[in-house]
Amino acid sequence: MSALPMPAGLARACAGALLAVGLAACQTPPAVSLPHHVLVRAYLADLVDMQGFACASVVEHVRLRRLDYQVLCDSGRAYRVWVDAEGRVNVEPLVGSLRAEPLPLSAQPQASAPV
Amino acid sequence: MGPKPLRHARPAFAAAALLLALGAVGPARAAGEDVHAAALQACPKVKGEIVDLNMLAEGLKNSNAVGLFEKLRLKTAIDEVIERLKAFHAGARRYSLPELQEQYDLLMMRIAAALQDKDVMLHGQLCNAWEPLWSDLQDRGRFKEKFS
Repeated sequence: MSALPMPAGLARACAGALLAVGLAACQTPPAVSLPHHVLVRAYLADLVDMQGFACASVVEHVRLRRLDYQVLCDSGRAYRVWVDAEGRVNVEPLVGSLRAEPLPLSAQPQASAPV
Repeated sequence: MGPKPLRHARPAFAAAALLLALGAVGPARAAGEDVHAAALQACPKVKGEIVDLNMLAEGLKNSNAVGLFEKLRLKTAIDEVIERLKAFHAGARRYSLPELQEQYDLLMMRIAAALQDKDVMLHGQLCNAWEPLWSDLQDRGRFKEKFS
């Protein structure tokens, strides 16, 4: 039994549909309704990574003030991420890591007002 | 699938304590508070201005500083922030306004980091537009004018 040839128009339509489905599947899943801290940490990990420091994910973060953060990456390394007066984003490694003993909570910085 | 396991993982409070403690002893802190507190106070003077997020997206599209994949990613991120703000102004309270501002700031940081060494003009425009754009986005009336 031989199969009937598929009309060219139908073949093109099928190919188009497959391409559309494939492209849709490749797109990043929408982050519209993720929890706020998940969104923040994803951005921070990206920012650290962009400056050449490996950071697959951020496991902790502290917002010191607006546009100024301290982050702890899954590697155990800590960084400060902030925006300077010229609008440049800076990333600076901080001393210590998860492997170091945490310093006492009494050493916490004072909360400061946003910029 | 759960979150990625950490080697030598410790309780979250210990990590948070470390981060907070680092703030008191880290080199950035030792260098002086004012360096950080003065964010966006000295944006470069450049020609042209960005008046809304769509114009920023258009600028990114035409910039050689950002690769194609990155352009798509940033455009998606811009659209998501607009969608969240649209939902907020329509009455949804999934995110508070301060949370939305933080998400906006982080998006702008993400874009600034991509531009700062490669497209000085667009980076300068972004720096100058950072606060005015948020001012428009957080205002329901002005937001609806632009995005309805």
